[in-house]
Amino acid sequence: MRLHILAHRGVASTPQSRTIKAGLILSRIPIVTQDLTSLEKQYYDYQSELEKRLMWTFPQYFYYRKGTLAEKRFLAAQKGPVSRQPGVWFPKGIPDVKHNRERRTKQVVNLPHSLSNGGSSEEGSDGDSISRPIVPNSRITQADKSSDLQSLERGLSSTLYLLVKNNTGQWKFPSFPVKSSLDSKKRPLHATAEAGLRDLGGPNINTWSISNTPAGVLNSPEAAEFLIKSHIISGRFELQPNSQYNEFAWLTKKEIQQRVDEAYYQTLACLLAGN
Amino acid sequence: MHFVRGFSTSQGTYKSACSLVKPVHHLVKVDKSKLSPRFEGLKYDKNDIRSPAFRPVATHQDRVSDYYHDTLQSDLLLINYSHKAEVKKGVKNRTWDYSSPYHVNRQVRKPKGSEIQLPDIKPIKWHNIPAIESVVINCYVKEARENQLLPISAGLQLQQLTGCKPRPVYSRTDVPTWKVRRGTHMGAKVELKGRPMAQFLSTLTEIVLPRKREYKGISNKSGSRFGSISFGLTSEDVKFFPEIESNQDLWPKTFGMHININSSAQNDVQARTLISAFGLPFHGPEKLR
Amino acid sequence: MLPVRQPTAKRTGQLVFQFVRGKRTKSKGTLAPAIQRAVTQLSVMSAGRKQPKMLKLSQEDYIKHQTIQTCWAMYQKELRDKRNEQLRLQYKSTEAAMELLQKLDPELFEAANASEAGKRFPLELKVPTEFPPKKIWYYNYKVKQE
Repeated sequence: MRLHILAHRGVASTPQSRTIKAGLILSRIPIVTQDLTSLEKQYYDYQSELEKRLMWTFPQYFYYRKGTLAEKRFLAAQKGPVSRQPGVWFPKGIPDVKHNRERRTKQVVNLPHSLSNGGSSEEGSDGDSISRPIVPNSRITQADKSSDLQSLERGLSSTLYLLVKNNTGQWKFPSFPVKSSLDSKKRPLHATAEAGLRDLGGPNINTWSISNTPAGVLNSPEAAEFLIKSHIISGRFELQPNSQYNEFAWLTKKEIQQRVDEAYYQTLACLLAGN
Repeated sequence: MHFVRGFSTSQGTYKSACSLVKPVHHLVKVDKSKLSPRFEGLKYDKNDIRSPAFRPVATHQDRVSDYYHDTLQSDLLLINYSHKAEVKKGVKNRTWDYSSPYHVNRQVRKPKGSEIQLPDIKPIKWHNIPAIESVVINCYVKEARENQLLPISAGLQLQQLTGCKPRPVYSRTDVPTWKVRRGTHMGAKVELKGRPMAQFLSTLTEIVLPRKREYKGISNKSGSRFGSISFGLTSEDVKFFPEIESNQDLWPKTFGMHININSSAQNDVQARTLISAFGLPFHGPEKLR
Repeated sequence: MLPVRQPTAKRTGQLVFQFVRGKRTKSKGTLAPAIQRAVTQLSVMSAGRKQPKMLKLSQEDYIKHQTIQTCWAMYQKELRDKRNEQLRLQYKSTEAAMELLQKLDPELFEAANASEAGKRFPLELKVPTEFPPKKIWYYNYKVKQE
């Protein structure tokens, strides 16, 4: 018992030798969905074709009232099924039509021309009309093309992490020493990291600290760096001129592996999102 | 169980609750459709392509569940971390001490300070990170007791909003003050899982809720204590769903509904943190118990 | 035999009932509009006359389908195992960090281990979409001056 207490004290007396630092893993979450692998793509195609084949007939009588102009337009856009006739040989099997649908195949529902083509002539001028054609933005941005590593608009489908390069040319996650304020009460790790980030990258940056708890530790004989995770929500990181770092970049996990040394990466790899 | 044999009487021995052999034959369910040789398709599971009930599930990328797995899971693991946490035992039923002969056959003794037994709270580790399990939408139409056509409409509204087939809801008891009779068709409900759930949640958080006027969020008082959060939409809010909005002439009357989000979180505090990650706001002071 | 039975006109107030042979008394149009709407709504929800033909796979197609399903299940299991393994490592890493922090500095440890009940994800964190928005990143955030 006595020995145990002594041992405990012995441990407790060491901390003064090692400085405690708060590291910051600042991430930008993905903005677009992940790119599909070829297996996923093929499987989803297969399953959605099966789903279409097994889908019930579209109840057009519910959406288009009988005898209205809309119904007429809708029916005109459909390619009707081949109906069964006595004494006729059908090379692709005898048709089985119910509710104007060939039951053996998937049903293809065509939208009327004015809806699907965005009303080319009269509604084309109206930019806010709901029937304008939908043109998705590109998943590859300008920053991707110019490989601008300092832009937050790059690599939209993956998680980006903030890395900084110090004067010796090593890429690292930013870290800040824990200072005790005047009333001898220490700032918690996450507060240190957030404040340090603002000193380093300017005040106009909106982040959300995930937790008070450090996600990991980089342990060395002279310092222990506790890593705090945080998400950037908006704003711009601009490296302040008088700092100890001289470059920064927003990198994906793969790019981090290329830049940092192997041992550093191995301790951190499990904390970084795979995509 | 302490059972003291009273030699003056044998009554205790003959009480049915003391029987050690439980009748089994009534508990065995026989699915007769499986016995019949006539309908081969009915023998297969619903996920077997030979079954008539087969419907493919993974038909497209599920962006909500991808987001959960890529980003939220590790965040939630960190948020819920507590160093060297141990299992917090919930209160359980107690036993009688059998000091009185009346303790035999008495109902079980309730746990201290609670009407029901409470589950143990286990520390959150990598294998039990809270996740949304299902969303149950329940649409109960009060006016259905006068007009039996309304619950049909309500069911169709649920079908239009979710793309899943709703089940009818019947009133369970007679309530004379509300003029409700047992067995009246009162509305519809639908349980969403997987991709339809993700679709519904994202429609709700991205299209419907932002358009509500002065919407503060789900009340922090809401919750079942065991990780499911519920809230309601009024018949006016339902009109913001694109399926209703683009066919307004088909919907002269819309119906409000209750939405329950069931999660695998062990208490409401964890559940609210989880649900807020999908874009549902909360308001009010946090309720810790 | 008379071809048409002479209708016996019977006056009850203003109405005159006339029986005409061959006239249909029941037809689709007689339903009240509200009921007709309910019938349409029910038919939207129900399977009657709307179901396609069942799939009839040949033995070869069935085996192909099974192979695809097995492949997908294996792929999903791999993904799941990989994710679980990473989460386990993350948990262990956090545990190790907290262990060390407790040894080095109990005060910081207390702050780091504090309960985070009431933590909310900010609404600005959005679920990724298939295509990016018009304005991808909001750069002009200005910190509020108190």
